[in-house]
Amino acid sequence: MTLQDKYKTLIDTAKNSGITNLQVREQNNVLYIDGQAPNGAVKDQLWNVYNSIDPDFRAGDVVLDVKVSAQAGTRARVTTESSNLNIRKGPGTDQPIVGKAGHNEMVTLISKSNSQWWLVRTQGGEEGYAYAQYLSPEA
Amino acid sequence: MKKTLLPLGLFLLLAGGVSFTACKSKTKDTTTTVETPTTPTTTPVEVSGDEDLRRGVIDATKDFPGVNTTVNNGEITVMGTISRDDWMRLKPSLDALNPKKVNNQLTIK
Repeated sequence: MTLQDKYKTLIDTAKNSGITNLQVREQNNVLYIDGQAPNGAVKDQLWNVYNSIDPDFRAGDVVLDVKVSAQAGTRARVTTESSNLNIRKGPGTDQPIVGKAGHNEMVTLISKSNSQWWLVRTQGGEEGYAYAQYLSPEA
Repeated sequence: MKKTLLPLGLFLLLAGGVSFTACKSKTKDTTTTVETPTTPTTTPVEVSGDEDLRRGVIDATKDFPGVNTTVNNGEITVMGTISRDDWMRLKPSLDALNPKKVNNQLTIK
C-alpha cells in the first residue's frame, strides 16, 4: 500500500476543505502535505484525521505543514493550553520578553516575521513577536 | 638500337587510369533523436538545513521540558516523555520547520 493510499482520507479532506496552494508529494517514503488553510478549524480537522490514521504520529511518514492564512490586521486568539503567551523583542526564544498576552486573549497581527514568529499587538498596546503556533487567526 | 621502349610506355599510360572509389564520402545520417521531456510534475520538497532546524526546534520545544530532540541530516528525532495533548501541539510546530521527517521515540502519557 502506498502512502497516498494509507493517507487517502487525509488527502481527500485536504482537497475538500478549501486549502489553497495544496501540494501532496511523496519523497523517500515520506508524504509531504503543504498548503494554506482558510482558518484554524480546518487545520485542526486535518491534524485530527492524520492522528486517526496514524495514532500519536508513530510512523513518522507524514510531514503535514498546513498554515492558517492570515493577513496583516487580522485578529488572532491566543491558544496556549492555559498559560500566558510571551511577547518578545525579536523572533526567537532567546529574545527578551517585552510583554505577555493572556490565554484566550485577542491580539492583532501586524506582520509575519516567518512561519514561526508573528509580530503582534496586544490589547494593552504592547508590540512584539509571538510564537505563531499559539495564535489562531479569526476571520 | 631497337625501339623497345614504346610499347612499355603505352602500357604504363593505360595502367595509370586507376579510379579512386575508396574515398567516396558516405551519405550523412540526418535522422535526429527526439529527446523525451523529463519535466517533473511537482517540485521537490525543500528540507531546511540542520542549523535552521536546531534553532527552530529550540523554540518549538521550549514549553515541553520533558522532551529531548536531536537533528541530523534533516531528520528531527523526539525523545522523552510528553502528554498526548502536548504532542498534538508539538508535532505541528515541528512539521512547520520543514524537516525531512520527524521520528517519534516519545513515551506518551
